[in-house]
Amino acid sequence: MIDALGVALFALLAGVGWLLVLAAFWLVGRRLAGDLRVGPWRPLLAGGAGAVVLLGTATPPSPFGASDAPFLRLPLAWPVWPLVGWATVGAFVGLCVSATGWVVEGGRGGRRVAGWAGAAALCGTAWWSTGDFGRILRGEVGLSASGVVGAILLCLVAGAAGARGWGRSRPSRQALSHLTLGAMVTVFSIPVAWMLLTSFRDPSAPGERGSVWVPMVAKRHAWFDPERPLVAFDYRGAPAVGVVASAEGEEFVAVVERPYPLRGARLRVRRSDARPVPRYGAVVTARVEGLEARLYVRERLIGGRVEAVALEPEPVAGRAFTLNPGEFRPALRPGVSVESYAEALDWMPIGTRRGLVYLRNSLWLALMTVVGTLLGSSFVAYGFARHRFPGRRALFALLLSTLMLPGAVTLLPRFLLWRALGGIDTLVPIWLPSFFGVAFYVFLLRQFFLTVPRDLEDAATIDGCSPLRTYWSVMLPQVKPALGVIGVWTFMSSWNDFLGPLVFVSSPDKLPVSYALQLFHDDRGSEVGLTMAFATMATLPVFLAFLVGRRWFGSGLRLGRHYSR
Amino acid sequence: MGGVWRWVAGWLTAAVVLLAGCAKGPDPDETVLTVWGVTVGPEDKGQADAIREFERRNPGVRVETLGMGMGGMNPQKLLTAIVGGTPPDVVYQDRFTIADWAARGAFEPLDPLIERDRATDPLTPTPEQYHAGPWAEASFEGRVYGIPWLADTRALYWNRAVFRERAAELRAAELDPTRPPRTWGELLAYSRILTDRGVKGEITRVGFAPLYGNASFTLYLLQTGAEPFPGDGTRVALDTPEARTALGFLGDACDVLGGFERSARFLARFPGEGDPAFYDGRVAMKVDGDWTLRGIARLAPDLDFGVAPPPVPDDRLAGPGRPAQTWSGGFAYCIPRGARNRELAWEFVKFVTSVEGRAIELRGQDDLNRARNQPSLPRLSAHRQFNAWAQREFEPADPRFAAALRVHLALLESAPPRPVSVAGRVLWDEQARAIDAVLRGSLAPEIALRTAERRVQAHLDEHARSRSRPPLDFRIPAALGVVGILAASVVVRARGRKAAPGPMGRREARWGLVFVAPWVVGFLAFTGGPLLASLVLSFSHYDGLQSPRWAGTDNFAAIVGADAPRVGTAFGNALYLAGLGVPLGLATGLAVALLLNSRVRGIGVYQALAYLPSIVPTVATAVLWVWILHPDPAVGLVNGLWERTVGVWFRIDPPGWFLVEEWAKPGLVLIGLWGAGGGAFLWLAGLRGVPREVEEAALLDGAGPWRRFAAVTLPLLSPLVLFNAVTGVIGALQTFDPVYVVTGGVGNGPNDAMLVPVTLLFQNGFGAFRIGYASALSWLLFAVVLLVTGLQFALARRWVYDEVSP
Repeated sequence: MIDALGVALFALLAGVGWLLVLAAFWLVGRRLAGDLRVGPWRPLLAGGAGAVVLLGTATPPSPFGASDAPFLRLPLAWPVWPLVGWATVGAFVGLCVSATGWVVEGGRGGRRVAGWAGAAALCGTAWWSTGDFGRILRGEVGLSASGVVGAILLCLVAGAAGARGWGRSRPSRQALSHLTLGAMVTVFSIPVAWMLLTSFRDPSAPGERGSVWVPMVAKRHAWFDPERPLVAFDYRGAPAVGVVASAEGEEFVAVVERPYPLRGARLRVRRSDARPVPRYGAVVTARVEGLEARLYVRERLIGGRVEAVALEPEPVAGRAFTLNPGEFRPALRPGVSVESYAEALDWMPIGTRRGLVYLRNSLWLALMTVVGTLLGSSFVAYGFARHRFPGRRALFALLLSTLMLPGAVTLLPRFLLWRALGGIDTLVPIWLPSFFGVAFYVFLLRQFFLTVPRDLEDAATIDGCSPLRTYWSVMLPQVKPALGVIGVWTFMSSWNDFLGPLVFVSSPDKLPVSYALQLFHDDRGSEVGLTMAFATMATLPVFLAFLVGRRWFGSGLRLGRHYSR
Repeated sequence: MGGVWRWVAGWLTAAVVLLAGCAKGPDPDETVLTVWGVTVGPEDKGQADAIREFERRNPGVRVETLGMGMGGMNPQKLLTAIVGGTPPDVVYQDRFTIADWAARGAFEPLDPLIERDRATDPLTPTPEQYHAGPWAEASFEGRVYGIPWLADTRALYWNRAVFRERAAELRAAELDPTRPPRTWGELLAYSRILTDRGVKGEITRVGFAPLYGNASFTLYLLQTGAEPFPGDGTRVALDTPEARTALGFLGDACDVLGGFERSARFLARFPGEGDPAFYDGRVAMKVDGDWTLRGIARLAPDLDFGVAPPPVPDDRLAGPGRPAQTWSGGFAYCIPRGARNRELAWEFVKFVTSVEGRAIELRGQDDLNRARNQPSLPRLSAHRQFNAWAQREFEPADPRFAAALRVHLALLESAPPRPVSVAGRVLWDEQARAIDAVLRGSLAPEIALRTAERRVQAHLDEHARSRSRPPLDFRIPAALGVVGILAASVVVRARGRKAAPGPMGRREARWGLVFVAPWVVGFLAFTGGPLLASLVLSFSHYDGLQSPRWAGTDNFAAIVGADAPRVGTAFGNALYLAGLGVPLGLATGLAVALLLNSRVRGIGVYQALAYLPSIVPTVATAVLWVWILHPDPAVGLVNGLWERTVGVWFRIDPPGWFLVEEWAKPGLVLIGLWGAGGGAFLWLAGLRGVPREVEEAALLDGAGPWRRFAAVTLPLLSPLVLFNAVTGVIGALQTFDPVYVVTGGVGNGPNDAMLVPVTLLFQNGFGAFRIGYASALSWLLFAVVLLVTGLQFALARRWVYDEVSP
């Protein structure tokens, strides 16, 4: 009871601390937006007080900070969560709106200041969070309560300094803009960064879990196993590695270890086709027989124990030891490991050429959808924009109303239709409909065609162009930017499409990447490195398309004006 | 034009190069026999040997066992393939679902083939060779639809080392630490002592988790002697004293662990192969099947464990006619209707299920195990002679494994299969759902059981009724459609004469029709036609295989009747996602756009980075966030941060996200918010459209940033807000992909917290091919979308600023 009261009291105090900090930010924002009645010291005072309270409530010596105090369970998250969500998003919107008041345009020099300040903030937060340079250098930076308080203080000081006298200079306010933008972008990029880092982590490193931000790989030692020699050979043109099980003259039987789909198969291999390859064991350091020794892991045992062979020093070298978890430390170095990628690719069924078939299917799908959407939608849109014909209004209204029709509603009849046409288990049902025009893009392109001056067409008609030719040679070039945007959007949505393949495709050699990723996740989802490696590979083509098509995003901005009107 | 087409051409070239690289021409002399559900993975080397031997005996035949390529057999995929007319030749199918499939005529009956070959081919399987339970499970209404293969039984696995470790405490409670519990009462007593807790009250070891491993409500139900389908199988009885007894035991077993959710969180996904939690003693006892022995042999060969018959209700231990101790399951080889190589498929089934074929398989597996220094562990078969032979030939040297196999085999003698019925699978699903609700404390046992009973009964009734309904004639609606199109074109033509006078006008009209013709055709084929078809189908019973039958309003009655709670939950969840996720997403996107609208140098980089999250494909996003929202703070990024900040200041436990009912939907909303940066681009376009003069006028009038935002920017953006809100809500009501990925294809989430309408539609439509029912659901979804959208437009008049009309 007393414990619970204490916890509640301290939670209340922490809440007050947070309110003080928020108030400080608000004051800085006011000052930055030009309200000179707010002095620079008030926010610093409020922020400082808030930080002291927050640190005080978070430091372990306080009786309530002890780790065995009871934990509250959020009661009824149903009503609580929407409130929390709204409060957080509201605070974020507030920050962004006030930022529009003090972010200045033009000028130069702010970026360098912002860069230094950002780096300083990162280092400071890291220091406050861990307090150990060695760990920071190894990349084991996790945010802690005191780190958060430190970051808040840094932000406040930077803001107050920006608001104070020298903050009137353009570069420093620019720097503030960059810092704000940078912070926002960082929050959004962290999951992607985590995905990348995790995919490049060494899955074999017997390391700690938690947020490790510098990817580390285990140092490894190559060794040959005389009892179970490992050999590499070609199996139907693909490289394979196996253990020699038995030898008969010129041939021997190898039990395959890689690739995954063949694992465990016993293959006959000619001696001349195989070459011995080493095994790799992670290098660890441990104290054995009173000596600090370097060893390599020969075998991993259950419960985190390992069997390791000493490399040095001399008295123990070559001898094997069984080490318990905690008795050894892996030798790590910063670096990336592509092992997760190799294993993820290894795992793909052998008929899919290491997933290349998935890529081919997805590309084919995207290509046909993009071409179909661009051609079909612009063709129809031109008809709606520039030709008067009976029933035009009614048809256009019908077209707009289909925007409200959920695609799932017609899914079953479409399945039956394609069954009748023999299109099940092909990709055709997914891309063919796009050639008949996509309602939203028809609408968008019509708006665009409407802005093209009529004189162009009249001139073309006078020159003897048929309507088809006018459409192709005169009108289409006028809406090029819109086509670019629609192309990129369509590419992404077709790459993302999951329900379509899920329903229409069943053969492994017809799956697109998105569906393959889902199956992979179901099968090996518990191995985070592999999953992230596959997810990264699934993202890469879209990322490339984004890089290539980025300038059409710029024209997308112009596009927006058309239909916001 | 150049840029766009160059870009498209670039992709085209890349794709074509890849296509060429991957193209492989099929061998004309080769017959490919497609077998689904058999994955020849690392542990199935024997199976691969048997298949190679079959290929050797049948020259020119290649067996393709890719199955689904990944993972196991997906029943939805199989049914889709059969209904879609592209079935494999052989399926390796869970026996328990065979009745359901056979009732729809999805499988070939095998008895004519058995009768034909019985005298001539010694490999032909006959009922006498098999254990009665598995054979009965693969038959339906007196016909054989599958040849049973493996048979498995469930038994109690106990970690002797843990028992030894706590021997003193067990003895103090008068429990023998050298033997496993035999009754439910003993099981609870052992579990209470073996369960350990850490400083914060969190579990560090469970004694016995009632639904861990391969334990299920069905096990406890059958142990009480319950009969879910009494009599002729047209009725289901679930809300019985037996079921309540079983449920009571489940509740008690969870209470010993401190509640269901706490134990579920502890047991959630121990990373690693096999069952690491049992290997290292974090789970002291579990009920599991004989296949787990292989995992132990491979991954934890030193584990000191024992296997015993599963504990039974206290009053059932002694006494005559005691009910089953466990149940048997397993797989069977079936031939789908419409298989391309039916005769060859039958040859294959005969070979792999024969003692000869299985002996090849077992020898191959033994080779593999020898090479790895592991004991050979023959899986139990449904075939009596084979079991005896395997027991003789391959008795493991290790007494632990030998004893374990003997226990499993002894249990097989008397183990019944799960109840065989067309509603068997529905019963299993509904039971699981009811148990989940009861254990999480959201429903009283009677209500949950009665709801499940009603739904299973509805399924049985529908099956019985649909046979007596008149067939549905599609010609009438089709004729009506054609008449409608003709009438419309006549009207258009008549009005065209009036509206477009003169040759120029007629020419323009003709070309206009030519230009919009593709869309009209597409609309009729892929939107309008299917929409009407689904309306007609919603009044039918149709499974895609047998001809559709008229159903009257049965489907709609089911939606508002027996299924109302589930349908309500699904639509409630979708509305939650729309009502919370969409506004939050709009606000976030707008805020990001406000920041990105500042014209500092290098803003393009920030814009690109803000757009990054929406580039990540939907499935990849869901996969990524499953890990970022992992409940374990040591793994999940968000909970790690939470523990070190919110946890420290406010002492609030990190949420369980997708494992907990209340937090599952907020988790989905959070995923959506992350992608809101993509929406920022539309907002940015709108912001660029705000005239500078207006902004500057407001600035000169001394308006602060808040005032400018509220009085100038927001009103000018309001048409865009409406557009984004409408499309966002329509999208949210159709949520499917993230839910499907996050729930691992099941689509429900804890206590149906993530059940959404499209999932329901998908499960009924493509999981069970209740096409009529699913069509009715889809119309309900359509109606809800129309209603919500109409509401939005109606309300929009009050707040959308219209430049044109002042």
